[in-house]
Amino acid sequence: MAPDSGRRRVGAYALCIHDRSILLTLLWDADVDGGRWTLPGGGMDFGEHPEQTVLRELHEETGLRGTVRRLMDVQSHVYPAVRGHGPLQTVQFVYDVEAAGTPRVVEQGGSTVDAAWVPLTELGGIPTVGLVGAALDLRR
Amino acid sequence: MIDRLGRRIAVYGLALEGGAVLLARVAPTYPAAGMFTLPGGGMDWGETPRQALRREFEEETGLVPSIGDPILVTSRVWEADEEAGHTVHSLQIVFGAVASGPPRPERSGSTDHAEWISLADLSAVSVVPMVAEALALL
Repeated sequence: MAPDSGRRRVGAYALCIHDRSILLTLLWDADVDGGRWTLPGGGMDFGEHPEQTVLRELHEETGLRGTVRRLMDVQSHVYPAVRGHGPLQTVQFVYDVEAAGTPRVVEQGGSTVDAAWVPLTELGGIPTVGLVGAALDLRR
Repeated sequence: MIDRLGRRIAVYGLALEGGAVLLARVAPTYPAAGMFTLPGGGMDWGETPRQALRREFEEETGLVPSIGDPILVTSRVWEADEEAGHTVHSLQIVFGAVASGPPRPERSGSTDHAEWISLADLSAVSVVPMVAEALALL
């Protein structure tokens, strides 16, 4: 069995779709997934419910106040050890969230450098992380 | 497992069949001993939530579940956790599940008995709060 000492990163992410566009955030170049677009969201603070996490992160990264519609899935991946760090397991709560309005990044010094509504028809033309496609596949 | 940030994730399955819910009884010496809970348990490092649930569900009931959508997440901070000896943030994820057939008890685990309990008879047994919370969503 895998060691108990393995690292685990738990986060919550928002799939927001409005007027056939998806709300995405652009990751800072130095991030592991730098230069790619992802879902608004991020790491869970100690003691937080994932619904609180997803709405807090949505606001920090886009300035928008959202409402949780439902939890779509909880996904998990294991990434191999790199540069002296042991393997990492991610656990991602993916929520269907209702939000509207013009996004702007609120948080200063975070990993998010831009936020935008991207028409679903234009998604194929920009670099995205795997989470975006995985979340879209969860839609009913 | 409890991760380095003091967080523990556990997964449970809510299986209903013919007006009965499948529950497991917590074994002596475990917290909430003697109370009935949903089949499930802690997510080991590297397991996906569904892998962990399939394993725990089968360990505790002998039945292999088909697992549906997550229906409930509870979040609670325990100031002095009995297992860890320090403050722990405990997350519980309840999935809808489908299973059928007679369960068999877990041997030398955290539960010692599994049973389909009619929803009409549920008030006669002692259940952990998560069971009532999950059933209230139906």
